[in-house]
Amino acid sequence: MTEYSQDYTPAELIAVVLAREMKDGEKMYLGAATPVGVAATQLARVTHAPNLVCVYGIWIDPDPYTDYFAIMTDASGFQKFRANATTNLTELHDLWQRGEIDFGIIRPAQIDQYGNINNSVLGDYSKPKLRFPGGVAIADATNLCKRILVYVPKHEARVFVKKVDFITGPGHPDEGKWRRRMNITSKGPSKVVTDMAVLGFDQSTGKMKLESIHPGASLENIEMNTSFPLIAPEKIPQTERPTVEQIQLIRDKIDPANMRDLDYRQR
Amino acid sequence: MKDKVVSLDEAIGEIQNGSSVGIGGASMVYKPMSAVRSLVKRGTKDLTVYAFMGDMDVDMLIGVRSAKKVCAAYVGFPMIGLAPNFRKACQNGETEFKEYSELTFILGLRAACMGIPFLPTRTMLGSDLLKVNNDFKLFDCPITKQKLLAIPAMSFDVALLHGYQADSRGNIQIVDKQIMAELIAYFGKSARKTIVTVEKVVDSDEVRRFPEKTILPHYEVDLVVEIPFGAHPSGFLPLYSPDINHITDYYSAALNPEAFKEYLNKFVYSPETNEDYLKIAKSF
Repeated sequence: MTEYSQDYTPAELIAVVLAREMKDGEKMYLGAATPVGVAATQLARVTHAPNLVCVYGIWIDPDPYTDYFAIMTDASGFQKFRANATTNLTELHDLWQRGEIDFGIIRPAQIDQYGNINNSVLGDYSKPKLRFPGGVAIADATNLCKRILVYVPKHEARVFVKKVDFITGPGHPDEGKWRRRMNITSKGPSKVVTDMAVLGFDQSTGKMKLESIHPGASLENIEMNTSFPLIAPEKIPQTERPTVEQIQLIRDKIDPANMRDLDYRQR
Repeated sequence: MKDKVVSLDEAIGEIQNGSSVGIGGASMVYKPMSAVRSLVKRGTKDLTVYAFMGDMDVDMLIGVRSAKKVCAAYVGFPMIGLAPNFRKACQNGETEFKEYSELTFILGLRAACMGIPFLPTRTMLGSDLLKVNNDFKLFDCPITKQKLLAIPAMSFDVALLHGYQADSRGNIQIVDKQIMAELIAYFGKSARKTIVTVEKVVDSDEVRRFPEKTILPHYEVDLVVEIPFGAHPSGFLPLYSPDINHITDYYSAALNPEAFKEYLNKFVYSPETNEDYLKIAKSF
């Protein structure tokens, strides 16, 4: 009998829900500054997906129980760090371009009803209201990874906008027909996991739809914090809670330094 | 063979106003920061800066109005915050930012290394970055007839790099466990003039005994400067980590024009040598 946990943070719930989207034997990529994504992939590897290939930047399969974020900030941690390989950037990009990455993980500054992602600017590009650091691999991953898992630490109307100010990486433009027409390898964003809900995309319209609501969240609250109408089934399922084992693994083994909460402290 | 070892002042003095400058390293590691401080100190103007993933290098050059244009896939301080001067200058419309994606930046460098006008790729389709990079051209693949994007070769006047060791001939070598060393090669080969600061200058005999460690052979390199901890406060893994304390202090200072001026006076304008700088700047 699975024992469900009553005690978990939003970051932990998002990590668990993301982990459930990952299949054994897949290859995944994530870049810097997605701590919840790191916790989620490591959780998948030590539970149902031991053969998940994790590519973190240039590192292939870092040890799930070492602090990945300490590598770059602590030279002694770097010396002790274990992984199957470090690639050079060209080899990493070859892997993307051959279409071998099953999924990438992205945290957007803005996402719209068609799943278009903006991590570049708010307002006009040449004189923006807010300049973000830049998308790094977002324009690449949304074209080259087979699917994209998106997570949003805090479900807010300023993140879930009707139309993004700038498309850094495309979602499902032209009602989802654009990717097929252009022969794009990637199927684009497949899931969006927030602190309130799990969302997906409607096949026939390319629009975002509600798939499940987290325990304690309400449809009313989700709609209030989303700037566009969400497609919702008549009876909306509740998101499965994390198990006691999953929470223990995250807290005690995978991320004892609580790096996952950094997603709530930075912007 | 020609002795390429010079002082930092001599090397940086070669960079003219209006130059395009490629800065090596990525995101707080392997950045030639002593060279960047020297460039700031000289007050070189109207630079176009190429950085794969920029942080203090780009932010400081923008803060002192040395850089008028930035080409990068990212400018920020991962896990710390947005780059204060960069952000402000972009928002005021004072600095032009040509935002690349990670892959297209590297492809631009690779095309320059290969001596060809562009490299084809199937990335960035459907992205508004195509409007920012209007020199990227969509074309029909002559083989498959599919749409491809041409990424033009990216070349610049000067590459500023930091390496592990070099001999006086300019052979640049890496250290065991160094990562992303290929960036040194890509930037070095894409530049008309390549300036490399190194942790140490060694005898040519040592280089020739370990030729497999040479990432950039002498004919790609113009000037070499010996500067221990020359990447500080950026890291040089596995030798030293980014000095997160110092970088965080910089970040806080850069949020406020007065504090930024104080930072520059203390850490850039006052120290006469990099040793003087390290005495007050290094937190480990």
